[in-house]
Amino acid sequence: MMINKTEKLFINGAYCRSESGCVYSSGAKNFPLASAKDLRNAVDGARLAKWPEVSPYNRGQIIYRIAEMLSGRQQEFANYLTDCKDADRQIALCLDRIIYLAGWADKYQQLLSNINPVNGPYLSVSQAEAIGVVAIIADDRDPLLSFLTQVLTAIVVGNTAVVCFDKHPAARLAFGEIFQSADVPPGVINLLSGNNFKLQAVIASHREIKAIVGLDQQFLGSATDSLKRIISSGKHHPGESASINDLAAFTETKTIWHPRSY
Amino acid sequence: MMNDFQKLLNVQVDGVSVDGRCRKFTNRSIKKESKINALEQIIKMIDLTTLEGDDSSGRVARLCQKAQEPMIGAPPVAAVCLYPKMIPEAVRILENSTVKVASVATAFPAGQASMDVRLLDLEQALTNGADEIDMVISRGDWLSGDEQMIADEIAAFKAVCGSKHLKVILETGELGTLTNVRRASLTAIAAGADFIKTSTGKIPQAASLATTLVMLEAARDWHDLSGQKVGVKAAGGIRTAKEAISYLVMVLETVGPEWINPQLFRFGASSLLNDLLRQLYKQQTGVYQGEDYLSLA
Amino acid sequence: MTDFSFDYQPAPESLTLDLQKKYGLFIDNQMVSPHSKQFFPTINPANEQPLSLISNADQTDVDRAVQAAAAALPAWRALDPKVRSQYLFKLARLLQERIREFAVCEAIDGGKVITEGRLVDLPLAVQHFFYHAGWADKLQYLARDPQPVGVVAAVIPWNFPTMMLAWKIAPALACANTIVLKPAETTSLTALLFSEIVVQAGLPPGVINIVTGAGETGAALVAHPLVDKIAFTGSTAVGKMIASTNSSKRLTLELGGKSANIVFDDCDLDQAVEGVVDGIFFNRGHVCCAGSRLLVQENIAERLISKLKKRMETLIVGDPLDKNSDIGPINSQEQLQLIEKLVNDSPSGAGMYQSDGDLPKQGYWFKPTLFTNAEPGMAITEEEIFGPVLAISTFRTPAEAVQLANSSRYGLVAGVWTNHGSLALKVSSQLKAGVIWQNTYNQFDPSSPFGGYKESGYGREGGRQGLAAYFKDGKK
Repeated sequence: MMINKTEKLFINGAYCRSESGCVYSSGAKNFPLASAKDLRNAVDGARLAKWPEVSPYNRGQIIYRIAEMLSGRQQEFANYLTDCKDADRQIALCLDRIIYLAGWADKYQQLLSNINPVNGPYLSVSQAEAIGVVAIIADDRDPLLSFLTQVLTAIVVGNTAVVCFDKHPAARLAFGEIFQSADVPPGVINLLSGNNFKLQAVIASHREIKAIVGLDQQFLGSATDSLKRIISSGKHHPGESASINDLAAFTETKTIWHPRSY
Repeated sequence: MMNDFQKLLNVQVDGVSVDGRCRKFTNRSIKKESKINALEQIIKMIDLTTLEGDDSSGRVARLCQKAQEPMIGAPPVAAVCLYPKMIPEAVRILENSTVKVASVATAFPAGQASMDVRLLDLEQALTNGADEIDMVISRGDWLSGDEQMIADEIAAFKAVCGSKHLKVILETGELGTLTNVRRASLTAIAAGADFIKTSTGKIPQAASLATTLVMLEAARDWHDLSGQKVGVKAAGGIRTAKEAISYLVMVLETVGPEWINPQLFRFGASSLLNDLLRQLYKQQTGVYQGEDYLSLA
Repeated sequence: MTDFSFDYQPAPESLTLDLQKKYGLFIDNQMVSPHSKQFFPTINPANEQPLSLISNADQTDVDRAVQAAAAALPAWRALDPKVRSQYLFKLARLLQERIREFAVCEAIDGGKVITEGRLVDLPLAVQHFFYHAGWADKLQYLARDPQPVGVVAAVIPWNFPTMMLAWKIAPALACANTIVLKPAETTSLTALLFSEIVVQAGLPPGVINIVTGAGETGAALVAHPLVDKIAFTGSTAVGKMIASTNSSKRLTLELGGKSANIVFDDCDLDQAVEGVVDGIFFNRGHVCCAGSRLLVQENIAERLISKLKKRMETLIVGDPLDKNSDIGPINSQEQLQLIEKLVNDSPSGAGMYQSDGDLPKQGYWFKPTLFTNAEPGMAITEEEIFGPVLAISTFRTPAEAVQLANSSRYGLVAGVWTNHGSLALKVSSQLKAGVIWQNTYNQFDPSSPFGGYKESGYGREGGRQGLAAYFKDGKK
């Protein structure tokens, strides 16, 4: 007899059922239908998550460990991708992408920050900082590679993420287990399955969310209330590659001045 | 013109540097005989504390018993620390014991009352028979710049205490920076404190190696300047023997062995005692104690 | 009440190593016997006991190693960069798993106290591999057409054996080079242990090669015609020799120093004392960037020196395998004699101070030492001693401090202690030193470039700047 996993949302480092008590079906299974309250809980978790204090080096190590954990479960994750003809290759690409992004953690700052040659006896430094809580409406053009790229690009520069998706919920929710075993601190990445559009309306107006990826056109108006940063992949497909420019899109620039004198 | 004391008062403290020094204390490895000696010494330096809304004579009686003999073969602690209302009971029980009776006073823990009320609170604690007083400073006033007020209130309370030993609780968790901790320490010492104490134990941030180090350095600098030795009490948040031993290492390497005695250093604790006893038992017999085998404090 | 006497009993590290009686040379992923069949012992400086026999590589062995590196280069550079990246991540993780073992090896082979090995050296070495792993597939951000320089010859010193190995191998491999590394003759064991990790990580043969030996081996290596780049860390004297005999190879040198810790009167004195103590007594002063001069503002000199002496009393000189030891033995008899000579030749007016206590009879030991009245012009103030010896002088104004700090042939690092931000930044902009530590000391990170001005060498290690030595831009 198969003991099937009960599918749950992944919020603040733990699996839980939806507050709504509602489900939707995908494949032959039921998946939680995330509600506005679930979103609120996820955003709280993301806001308080102990991620800003983690050093760039440690962020890199944690993301590398995500690859270590996935590596041991490649077959299982390939099996989740039932619609994919090249599932094994997809997982291999995921592994490469995770490791690639892990390697950015302790070096993006060196490309994005600089000393400004100002006209005066001052040290003027500009550096890249995280934006805060980022909502990601997962890209559905492929089941995992784009999703992972978006999430890891957001967090490698210090943001925390609330990720919403409708398709491929089995594979994506299972990544919560990978994040747990990779020592990703609770709240850094939150996974909400369910009707994207309903949630997008709430996300667009939630003031704690500082940036959104993949927001549908129709909600852009409400997102302007708190001047959320709208990050779009544009024509570029996140599954294809990730570059320093993608990381930069998830940062704010802070400039600090200090006199040099005695 | 700045005198030497002013220079001490104005020192800025860097938290990163302090943390680095503290890591070296925790890296010391204290084993075997030195560990047994350290554990026993720490027990003798504990102020066994209960400061709860639901304290009663029954609880105080139990605490005083534990204070006198924490475990068969273990030495008595330095003192018990209680609210003024509980003092008469403790004094009665500990009449023939070496364990001192310390009372909190001056509107513990927040100190947010008039000077009259605080003085009355102090006088009653003394009338009730307290050997030692743990007072609180007005943190809000200090943070808004009224240092003189703190100096004055300490001097006033010390005058009432007379020869009874006065500990000044700085509530370091509310002071914001280590620089402030140092400054408040020196202010309290100059105003007449016999002991400076980290915390009330009533807010989440209690004693830490970093804040205690800064206070020990203040005490050391005062000693270098004036020849007078002032004690330091680390209260709250120290739950394990391992941590307590790091404090002992810190005291040794910062102010020297003369401070490792109850006259000059105290641990304000409750659950720490049983962990010390557990470790002591293990060192002596090789067996780890279970929770049920140790008496409640 | 009698004083409680708190005596830290010995707390020996319990892990013991299984060393081989004799080690070969690591070439093409194999351990091979030296051509001359000659070996030399490596000694534990704490007790003068021999630990193992190390191969003495001669010209033939060096040639063999360099040929192996050259032969491995075409396939190595042709790999997808992400593969090199993943190899480096593996090296990082495998070394990370064996930190304790390597730290024990550093302690017995070189005299480095176990706490420093476990808490500083080895974690930094691991981090170096980790950091550079992530650059291997991102070099296009540093050059339009990044190409390796080719075969790298690396010669490293005895003061941070594993860390120096990481500082050379990680960037070299990240930029698709292959490498032949020669560790110092008194501390070869960790490099030889590392060869096990190379094999375990599955690196192709010839990418990393290790040849052991003394000065002659190093000289043969850096002169080999198939070597494209030399990376040398060591004494200024040898660095100059290499520079003078080299004409065609790219060269980076990380040499000696006589760095100044500058303490202004408005700093937190206790904090400055920690920095001064760390600066000169960390790793027994066997540090190229040791703060071996203390320049203290005259109006606080007496207080600072008094605190320094008190702090020195808490330093424990002892067996490096004892977890409570702060200062271990001097690395070799030769180095001990050098230190003793410089100290004994010092003028009596220099104010020598050492704490009380005895040193062990066996082994190469030297007490932490201060010279409280060192003046410019004295050998102890000008020459690199490379031991736990601090030369103290005073200054009155910032301009004078800068002048004193800069008047040295060396320019590796400087420490600046003040709570006045503007002063710190202005003084830093005037100091001729490659690294300035403000209100801290001995901070290292693979992302942060390290290297010196003047006779402390040229080139940087770490960060973007450090990588530049290891690649060239094909489109130039």
